[in-house]
Amino acid sequence: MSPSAPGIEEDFPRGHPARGDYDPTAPEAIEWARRNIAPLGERDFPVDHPGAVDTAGNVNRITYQPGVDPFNPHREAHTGRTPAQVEGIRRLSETASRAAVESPVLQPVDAAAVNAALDQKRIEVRRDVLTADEYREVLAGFQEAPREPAPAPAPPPEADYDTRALAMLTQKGWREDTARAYIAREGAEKLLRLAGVIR
Amino acid sequence: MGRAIEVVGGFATNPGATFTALTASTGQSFTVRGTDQNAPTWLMAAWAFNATVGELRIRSPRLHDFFSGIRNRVTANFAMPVLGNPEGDSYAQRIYAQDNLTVELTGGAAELDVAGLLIGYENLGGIAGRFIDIPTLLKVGLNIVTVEVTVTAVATGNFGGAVAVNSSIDNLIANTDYAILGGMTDTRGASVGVTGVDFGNLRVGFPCEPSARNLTQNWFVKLADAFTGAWIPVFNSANKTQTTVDVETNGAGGTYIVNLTLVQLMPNAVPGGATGAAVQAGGGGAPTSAGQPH
Repeated sequence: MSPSAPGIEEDFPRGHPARGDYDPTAPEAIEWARRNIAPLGERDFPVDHPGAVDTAGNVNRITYQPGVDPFNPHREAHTGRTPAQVEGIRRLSETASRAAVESPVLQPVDAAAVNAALDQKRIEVRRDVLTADEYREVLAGFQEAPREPAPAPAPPPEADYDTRALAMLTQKGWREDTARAYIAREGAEKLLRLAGVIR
Repeated sequence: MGRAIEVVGGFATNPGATFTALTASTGQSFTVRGTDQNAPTWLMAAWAFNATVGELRIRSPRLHDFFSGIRNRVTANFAMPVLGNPEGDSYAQRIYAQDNLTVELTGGAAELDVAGLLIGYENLGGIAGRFIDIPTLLKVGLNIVTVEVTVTAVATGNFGGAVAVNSSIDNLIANTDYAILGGMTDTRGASVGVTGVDFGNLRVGFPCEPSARNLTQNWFVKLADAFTGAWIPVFNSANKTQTTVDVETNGAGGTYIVNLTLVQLMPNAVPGGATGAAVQAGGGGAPTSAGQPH
């Protein structure tokens, strides 16, 4: 490919395939192709544009996983700790967990009633924040008192038994009309009892 | 009206591919508490924390069927709800007093897998917590404040490591009601629980999932929104030393930094709390007006 003489207007830039002296192996032709041919289809940014993913130094191609530093993927996600730190903390945490105690089981209470009793105690001791012993003392009174029994569950209506017996039988592969006839003959409640669905 | 929320946790040891009934956390049970049958009880959400992928199955003859019931895939190391996600509108499964729910997990053959069920009682006999709905929160809410606690969980699959809400930072105003909007954890576990007399001594809670902070930090508000009712727990700072945060996790145990998002409420706006009778009545100079941007 002949060099351009100064001041001479050329029909196509050097390396362009339309030039009469086009040589596909010439550096100018290779560079022209690199800049102008997009084998994967239309580009979002021109070649060498800072926004193009194949521009040197562009980091758009890096996948950012949640919590992971893509330049330090060996570090722990979300904390950025090194593996040595992670291992140290794991060992410490394991030791602490062995020493930790399970949460105490508490007697369920009525918050309004207990708060009223706690208020009485606060007035008595002239302090807002009670000690653990003072809490225990107040709560002990509630735990010793018999609780109101829960209301007895109402028996489900007959229609409910019918529906459940029908569902039970159809799930076992019965045809609906056969199941209905069987339920009418035997009684839904009896069938449910026999199947152990109700007691 | 005895309203209550309870997170019931349980664990299965080395379940492998076999559906294994969960052992309920100490002091808890998968039998629904005795309630007024006319006031519904709801299975609001369920989640599991498996180190290996598995299935969480919840069955009862009182629910749809006892064959497969509610069965969902549990992805590994992701304690997100697989049932009743309160993000947006949702649908809760009605459950019945004294019904013994069969809760089972599959998972790894050499690990402890853990699950949590969130149960909401509209009227629990003899037990009552303090809860508000969203309109009340908007009406009487004053300031957001967070509390941060460090919980060292036990490695047995039970809830453990309970610490008071003021154990790390004691910044709550005396004799003041606070609504718990939700919370966040920095480490994955099964459930974060908050227990206190203001919740009827039952454990309210949310999934211990650090990568779903948008969900958990607003958990109770979303519950109140999705299930349309008073499901935002309220406690009084006078009970702060006895209002505790704990965590349930798998056999690895772990140390958890938990942030609870609270909203300071106007004094005496939520019934059933401490009245501030002893020393600092009225919440230590709290403002008397409230509201949200319009």
